[in-house]
Amino acid sequence: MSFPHGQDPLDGLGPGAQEHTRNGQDGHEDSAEDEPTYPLRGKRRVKVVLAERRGARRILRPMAQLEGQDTPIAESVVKELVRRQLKIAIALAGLVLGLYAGLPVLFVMVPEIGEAVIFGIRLPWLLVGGLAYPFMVAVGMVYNRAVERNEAKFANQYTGMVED
Amino acid sequence: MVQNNWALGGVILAMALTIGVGVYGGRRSKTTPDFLVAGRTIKPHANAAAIAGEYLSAASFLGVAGLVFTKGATGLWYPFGYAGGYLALLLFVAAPLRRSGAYTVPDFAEARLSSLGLRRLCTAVVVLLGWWYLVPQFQSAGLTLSTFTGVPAWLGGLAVAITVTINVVGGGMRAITLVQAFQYYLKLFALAFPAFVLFFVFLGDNRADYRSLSEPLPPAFARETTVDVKTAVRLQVSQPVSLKARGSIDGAPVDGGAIWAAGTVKSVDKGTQLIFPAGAPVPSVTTAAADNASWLRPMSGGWPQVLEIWSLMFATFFGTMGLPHVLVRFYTNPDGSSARTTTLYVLVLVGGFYLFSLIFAGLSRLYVPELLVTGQDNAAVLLLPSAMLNNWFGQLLAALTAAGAFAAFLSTSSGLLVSVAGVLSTDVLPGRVRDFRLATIFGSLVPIVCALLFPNLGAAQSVGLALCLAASTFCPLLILGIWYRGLTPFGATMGILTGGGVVLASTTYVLATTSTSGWVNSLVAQPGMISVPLSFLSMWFFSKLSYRSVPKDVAQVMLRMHAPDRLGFTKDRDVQQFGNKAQPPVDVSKRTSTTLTGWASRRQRK
Repeated sequence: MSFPHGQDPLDGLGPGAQEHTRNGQDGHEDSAEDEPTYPLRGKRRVKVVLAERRGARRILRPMAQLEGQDTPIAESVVKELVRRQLKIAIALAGLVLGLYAGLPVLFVMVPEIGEAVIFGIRLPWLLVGGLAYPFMVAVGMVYNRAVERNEAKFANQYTGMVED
Repeated sequence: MVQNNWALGGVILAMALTIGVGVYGGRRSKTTPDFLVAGRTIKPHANAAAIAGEYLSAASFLGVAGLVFTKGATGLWYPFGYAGGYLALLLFVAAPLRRSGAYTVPDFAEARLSSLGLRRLCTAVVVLLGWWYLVPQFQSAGLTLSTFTGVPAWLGGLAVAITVTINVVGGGMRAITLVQAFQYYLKLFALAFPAFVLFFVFLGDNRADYRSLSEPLPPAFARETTVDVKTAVRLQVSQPVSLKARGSIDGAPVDGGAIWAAGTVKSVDKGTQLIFPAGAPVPSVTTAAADNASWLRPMSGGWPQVLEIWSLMFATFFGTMGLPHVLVRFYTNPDGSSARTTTLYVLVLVGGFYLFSLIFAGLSRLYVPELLVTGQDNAAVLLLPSAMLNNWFGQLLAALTAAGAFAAFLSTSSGLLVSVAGVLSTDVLPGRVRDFRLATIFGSLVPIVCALLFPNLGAAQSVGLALCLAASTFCPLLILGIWYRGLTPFGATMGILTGGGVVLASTTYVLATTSTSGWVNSLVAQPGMISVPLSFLSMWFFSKLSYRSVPKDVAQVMLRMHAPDRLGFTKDRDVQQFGNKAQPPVDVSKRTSTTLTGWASRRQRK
């Protein structure tokens, strides 16, 4: 979301902007990227930061619950999230490391594989020199998608739990 | 000489552009958060270019092509490992580190474990690591410049130091981000464009003069070649070769014709001149693959080489995430998920860059085989263009690669300097902008003086050991800090001391000893395989011992690091600490609970 910055809060537009953001849910990431504008003499341009405010408004109660007293339920939800995220990370790291630490062993034990030619390129050059990079990017994309899904689930669980 | 002037021109242009971009990028740096973390407003694609620009040091720009040029398929694991470090960073560190709200590694330690003593220890390690890395950067910049332009070595190092100091003093992280992003694209162009041109030159070339890479023989000299050996080398001879030599070989003086038998190893002393006739097979340094068959085939060295590759993967996967100048860039992201996106982009940018290095490596094997004799494989990127194209265009391409190499020195040094200055200014000084500038000048003064006073410190080895130090101190701290609730300040301190102690001890041993063979020595020279697990273990063990001192707020900190950004738990500690004058609070009453504590502490200080 590109936020209309440079508004003069003295015009009474500031609060209006606040109203506006309450409707939208997304775009939280983008708003912090706006360049800060500086109050200038005469022409006052003030940056209105909304991302934090909105987030703060939404999570007022959960924060109070979790930061004030230790609720065992909230605690266990967080623990589960951490465990799930770590599991994904370890599985994917294990996949990449296992493959590329295993290849040298394979090439020593079965040298013929190291001499195979595919598309006019020697197999090891293709696997390690070329395909390794798209492969790692793909693994990273899989990871990003999986953890974001976990986080969305957590957010639902969490807000649902708090609003009960 | 013509080429020297061209290369010198390229280097000066790279330096001038760097200062110009830095001044432009830093013109809006006003507050401490601007200088420390660029106001945390860097978008993922720009940030990724900056990270890649900083990470692709000369070791990548010159070194990767050189490694593949000498080691062949086995060398392919080096760039893979360098890029793989970012995958590990993405999987284990990126988002939680950003969400912790810390602005330096010591600050992360304090945010997670609330221990001032640990924070001070981390400060010391960051400064040590930064300087340890900066000295070889300055040194090799000087060496590279003196090799290809004839400028004295101290001048090159000094020029790099002054350029980066100007940029960092002027605009801090804001300036450096733009400079490094610019330098990534400069380096990419400086490598990709010559690679394309030279590849087409190769396709149009008369292939009869050169020995094809698929023949199971060593590379051959296309024409009569005179090789001046500048540092003593040990050469393996796999095909008999007759040559003329002047100097000393195997300890005995020679002057005139000689025939080297197949399967022998010759020690050629410094200052010897070797003249090979056209078509002669190239003897190569003992660390290189001797003939093209073993160059094309991976692991031609058998099991010891497998161990070497494993050790390398270990060091790069864990070392990259411990480098303070890489970590400091992650704090500049607006939030956790953009930190993840950034890392993914970095993987794309770094991986794409290395593909062009491979083209250089293959062509160098054909056109500049004399580098196999001198062992100066790092010069391949710089010498290949003029070796293939003997006209003004070749010189222009050579100037371009020289400029790229210099950009590599500049960007890595500036990243290191920013991270050292950030830590010094906030942990030793009160953290105002003036302190940051002071810390920058001090932070660059120490390594440049070291580089000028001790020009003979082994540059290549010290970078490997610094990576090892990062892997055995900050990597366990970050991984356990992010994923393990039971970590205690005592455990973390002991882990850092153990891992760091082992690396420092082995460094001292390497500096003190003269022998370089045997597996004990090779293990000591690359202690990561031991020091990293040891550091993890002792961190875990001493945390178990002191389980009573697990921080009280651990649940809250874990929630903050792992909860999705839109729940808004992240508290930016730099804003709490130093305020953000560029963004005056518009309406104070709108500042609700998440920032209330920070706001209150700010009020208290006033």
